[in-house]
Amino acid sequence: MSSITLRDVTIRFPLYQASNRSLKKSLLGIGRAKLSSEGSHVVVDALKNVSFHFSHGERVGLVGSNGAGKTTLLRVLSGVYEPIVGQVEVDGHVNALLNVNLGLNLDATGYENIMLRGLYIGLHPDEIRELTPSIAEFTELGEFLHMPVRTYSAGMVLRLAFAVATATKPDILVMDEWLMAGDAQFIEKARGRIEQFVKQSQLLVLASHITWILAAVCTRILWLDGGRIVMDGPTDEVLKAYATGVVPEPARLRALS
Amino acid sequence: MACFSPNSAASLQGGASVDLVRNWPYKGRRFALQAGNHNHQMTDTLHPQIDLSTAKPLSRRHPVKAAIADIRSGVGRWWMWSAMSWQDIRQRYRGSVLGPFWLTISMAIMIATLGVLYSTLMKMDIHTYLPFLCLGLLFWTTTSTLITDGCVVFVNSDTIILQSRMPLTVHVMRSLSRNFIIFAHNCLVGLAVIVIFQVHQSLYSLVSLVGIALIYLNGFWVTLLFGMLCARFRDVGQIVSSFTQILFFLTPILWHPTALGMRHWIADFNPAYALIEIARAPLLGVPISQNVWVIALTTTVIGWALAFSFFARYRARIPYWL
Repeated sequence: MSSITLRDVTIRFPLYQASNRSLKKSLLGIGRAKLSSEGSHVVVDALKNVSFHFSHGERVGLVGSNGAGKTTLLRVLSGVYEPIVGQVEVDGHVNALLNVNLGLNLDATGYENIMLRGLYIGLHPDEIRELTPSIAEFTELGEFLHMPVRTYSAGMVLRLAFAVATATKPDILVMDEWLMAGDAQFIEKARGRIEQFVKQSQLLVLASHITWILAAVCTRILWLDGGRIVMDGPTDEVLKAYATGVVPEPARLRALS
Repeated sequence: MACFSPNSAASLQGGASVDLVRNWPYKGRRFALQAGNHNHQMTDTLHPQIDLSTAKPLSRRHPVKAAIADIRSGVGRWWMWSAMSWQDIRQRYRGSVLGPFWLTISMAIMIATLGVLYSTLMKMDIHTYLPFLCLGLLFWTTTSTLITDGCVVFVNSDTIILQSRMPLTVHVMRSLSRNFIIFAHNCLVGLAVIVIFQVHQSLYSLVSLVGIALIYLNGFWVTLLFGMLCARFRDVGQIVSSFTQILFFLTPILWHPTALGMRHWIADFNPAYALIEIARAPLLGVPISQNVWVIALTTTVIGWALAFSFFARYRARIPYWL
């Protein structure tokens, strides 16, 4: 049983200006610290008191404008950011697809990149070797896999990345919107694979701006704004509200509490 | 079973029955804050059927335990970092027939040139000077690349660190292992010099392995500490590389420590000299002074303590810095 539970999670980022990034300036600044009344620590709450429970088999979509906290939330779910406040409980192995270019070496061949990416997502080299034929088949790249990735189109890179990331059956798949860069046929295929994924009673969290994808894939939507959950509910309800930009009154009450 | 909808007016006015609320699988906590309406206290705020027994909390672990766990599992994933480091080597030398041996050749040329030049300048016998220079440079090269690579260990792996959860120590081990592979290639030059100049070897030469182990043991904490500092303060890398350059001239590699005369303290308190000397002296058949051992072991212990306490304190912050 895969599940994710967040309890009052707050993620706070220190915003470093150029001068905070320099050790020399920081050391020189010690003597003058009292003079400058402005605190050098500017912090931004990327997530504020976020709580939810995602259970087995759910396909959750995240919507929200840029800077709403979608990517931060995905990174919390994949265990990258450990929260300062609150608690994260993840049951199951998380596989995160946040960045299409993860560990991609343009000079290495497709096969070598399969190996590298596999390592980065935590697979054993033997496992990767075992999975390589099925990955190669899914990408439909054929002989291109012997060529450096530099020669690939963006869509081809995407296929490669998606194929490796979904080659194993992680309990929980966390995905950012880059998936949508592929051509229509690939999206169809990717959706097929995601469907297959979810059918095996796994958990999917997907962030996207493209509502039709979310409508097709997700069973539940979280609408984030300014690091808070604005609305959380069934796909059609939230997407309708999101399109109009108006949160239904009961949901707003809930979000404010 | 009737469906409970938290958004409906009836629910919000307290119309939902406790059983319905209790069986509602979503967003227990957030709802629980409102559950006061129902005059019902939900102590465990989650769905009763949710099994959290196998859930692994990511936070709230003691930082020291978390740091130990990170180092242990990071080092334990040898298959991961060794494969990554081989891939690094393969990528760096893609398209060249000789691969990492290019470095070996350039090192051989440098040693031959410097050996001839400096043995003339310092009026030393090339048969004693060149093996000394060669072994010194061999161990210095790996030490200095450990330091400079250490500075970028987290910064250069930012995409990986920000994408998936893996022990941060994996990146440290990747850097160490990559440097060791290159060092092993360079060892051929050392071997050739030992054979050509017929430097006498005995069982004592094996102590050199202890020296090499100490260099890498120190390389670990240096990589960890400088990697963290450089992730937080982006100018540390430049500061470190300037100091490494100065350290090279301060360390008896091109010159012999006896040449210091009264100012022998310059070498005596130099940790780099201590580490290199333990690796180099046994191969030259020279005894190692007690002072060298003390400095080397003290550096190892203090460095590890320092790096570990930093790591325990700031490990979870590293992704925020990238």
